[in-house]
Amino acid sequence: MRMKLFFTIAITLALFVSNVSSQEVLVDMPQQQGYVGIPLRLVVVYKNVTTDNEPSMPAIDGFTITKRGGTETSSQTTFINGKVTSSSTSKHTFFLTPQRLGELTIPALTFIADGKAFQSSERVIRVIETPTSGALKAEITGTNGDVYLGQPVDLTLRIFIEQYVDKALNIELDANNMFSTLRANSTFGVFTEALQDGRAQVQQVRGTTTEGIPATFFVYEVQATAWPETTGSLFLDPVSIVSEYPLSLAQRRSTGFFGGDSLFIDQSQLIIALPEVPAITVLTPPEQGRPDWYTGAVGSFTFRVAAQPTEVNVGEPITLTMRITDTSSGPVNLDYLSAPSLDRVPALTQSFKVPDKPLGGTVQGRTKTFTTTIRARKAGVTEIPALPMSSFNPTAEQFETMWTNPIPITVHAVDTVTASDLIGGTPSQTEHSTEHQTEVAGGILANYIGDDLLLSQTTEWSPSLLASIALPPFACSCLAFGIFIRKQSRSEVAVTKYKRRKAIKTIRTLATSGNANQAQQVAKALRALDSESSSNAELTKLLQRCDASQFGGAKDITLAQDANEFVESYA
Amino acid sequence: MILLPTLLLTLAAIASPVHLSSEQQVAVLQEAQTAYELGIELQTSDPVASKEAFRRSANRFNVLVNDGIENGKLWYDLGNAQLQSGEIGESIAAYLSAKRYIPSDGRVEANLEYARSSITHPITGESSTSMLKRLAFWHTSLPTQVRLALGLTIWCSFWACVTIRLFRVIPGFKTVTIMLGLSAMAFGVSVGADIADQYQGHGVLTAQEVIVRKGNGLNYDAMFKEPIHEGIEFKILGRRSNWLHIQLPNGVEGWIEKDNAQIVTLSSESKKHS
Repeated sequence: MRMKLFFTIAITLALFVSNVSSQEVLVDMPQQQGYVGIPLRLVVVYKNVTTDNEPSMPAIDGFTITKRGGTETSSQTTFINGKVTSSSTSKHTFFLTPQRLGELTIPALTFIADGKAFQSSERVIRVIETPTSGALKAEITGTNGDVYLGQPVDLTLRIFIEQYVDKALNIELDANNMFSTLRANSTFGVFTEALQDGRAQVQQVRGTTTEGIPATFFVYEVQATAWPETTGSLFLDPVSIVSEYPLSLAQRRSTGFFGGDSLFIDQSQLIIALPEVPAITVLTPPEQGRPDWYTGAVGSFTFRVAAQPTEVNVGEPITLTMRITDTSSGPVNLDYLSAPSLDRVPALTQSFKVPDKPLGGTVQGRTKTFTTTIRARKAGVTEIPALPMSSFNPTAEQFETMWTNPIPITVHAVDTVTASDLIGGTPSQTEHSTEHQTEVAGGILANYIGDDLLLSQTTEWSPSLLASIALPPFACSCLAFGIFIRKQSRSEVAVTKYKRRKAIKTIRTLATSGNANQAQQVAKALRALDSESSSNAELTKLLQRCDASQFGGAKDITLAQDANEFVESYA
Repeated sequence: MILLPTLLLTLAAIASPVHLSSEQQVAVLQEAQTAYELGIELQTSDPVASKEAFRRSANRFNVLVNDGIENGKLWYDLGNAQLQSGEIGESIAAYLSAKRYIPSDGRVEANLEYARSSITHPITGESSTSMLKRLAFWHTSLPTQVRLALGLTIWCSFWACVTIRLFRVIPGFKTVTIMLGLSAMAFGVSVGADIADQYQGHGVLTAQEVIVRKGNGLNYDAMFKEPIHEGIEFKILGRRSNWLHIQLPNGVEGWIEKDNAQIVTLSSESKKHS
């Protein structure tokens, strides 16, 4: 509860301090000078203005106006010190082409958005005559004829620049030098990205100038692909190439235009080339022969469908995953590719409830994946029928349809089909049978649920683990030590008993038989009987009698008999 | 007046990491699961909102993992949410972490394979497995806890044999004790390696495109003409400040920025600092 309260307060505060930047409409047109016939770019920038209406440009005296299709939009949200700032920008591009010389005025423009009027300031453009020369030419070639919406348009831009040769200095400028004479205000339209990526190729060719003089030309060639977004005449951003073509070079000691070689352009001439974009019409595939489920795909594709699960009750969802792969060569753009309209496939809709909303897919490489759910209308449905995906083949100019294989499924009856069964309630338990199961590859499997998700499975060096490891060897060692001690003590007692038994036996033998060394043997046996029995008075007395008999020479006839009696009593 | 205590609470939370209570953990888990279910519901009708719901679900699962709750199923659910929200690299890392806890789980294996199949330009290596790896298959196929339990059982059996031998002669005592001793040692080393290493020797690319360089700096040349893509797994050979020395599945070595990858780990702390 406290966590929820904390988050609620934090979010409320965040919303409270959040700020949306102020609204404005700007007109971005940096140029102050133009040339007759060369389009000038004018960008209308909507900042933090929400409107579905695109700005319109009134007719302006001295200009023809075209609008580029599409709008660039961007938005950003920043969090700084708890302050949330959101901003959004949309840009609309127009091209204004001057039609006459002189000073042309673009009046203050008014744009209506969000119920407010935004007005730009007036500006004046000085239009001068377009310089041309045979030293610079450009052409755009590309796809011949018409294309169908969804088909790419391959275009090639070739720029021809005559190699400049300074006869006085005997210097020929190379391809890089000549390309660097192109001014920054050149516009390359769809070729801009390719040029920035360094994909231009250059070659040197021999030709003749407009005056018929043999000359060397550098040909810069760059290719680009355009993807038409609407039908009708293909409109591409205009291409205008402006060059500061050298007329004479000069040398100086300091670093000059060409870096270390101390050369710079002494005199130059402004020349412009305006290549014409080939007339291409973007067509829609014909109505005739168009399948009901066709959604605009142009090209060649493969179509795969997977279904999961394949055993359900009536009304339960079955997820269909559709993968469409572009098999054509060259670049692909699957952003505009739509999934087939399955709700228009009678074989499917008679047994299944199929959503009729367009699907959003995800693009990975050349494959676009769509997912949707269908629900069986009745029990006993045994398969999802073959599903079609149609595309228009622009080469053969006919529709081609791919059909998937039917997917076997099992649909069980339910006692009552409730509204939730049809619109997505919690799926009820399904009785599983081993028959008619078809495993479908791909897709991800369901999540785990349950309380054990919060139980940790980590393994660490805990005291109990260490104790479990140390206890068995410790217990075994203790046991072994005990056994050793016990064995040790047992062996000492046995030795003592053995010695005693031997001593008793010796003394009994001596008591019944005479022997010259009787006293010595009795003493030895008595001592072996108990080495620690010195405190025993009777034993001491007997040992003294043994010593007297052995070393004093006095014969003790009863010594053996007395020792035997002592031993008997001792035992 | 409200702002001040809120800021103080926030600062206090930053100063000392606070673990979630068990009630909060249950609440966060429910939020994660609800967001995931919402994502599934919206998948066909509103893919953008669906993706956002999956992202929110992944975020909530991550909160639990970072709180120290680690188990295979939680990592698996996190991987699912990340995969559904389009984070292929992160999802592969999560599935690999799940595999260490539940290595023989069919769902983890299937979803990991699916995530790997979504990689734009995969890099594959030789599929041959070394003899050592084949012999130690149990190390990767059994969860750490199972290996620990087996190891402890064998360890106790070994000492039980030795103890019985103190009292009476057992036929084949030497063979049995040597086998039990070696097995216990193998399991011990296996579990010890898991605990010490935490499986930080591997990683997965999480940035969409990553430039592999010849050294640990932006000044070094690129190793390949083209960048490599999200989801590619690699072995970590070394680390230097913000750079990882890696070996790709095809054996090629190079350096990448640490921010472009996620190190596969079982430890939430390591993950946070990686």
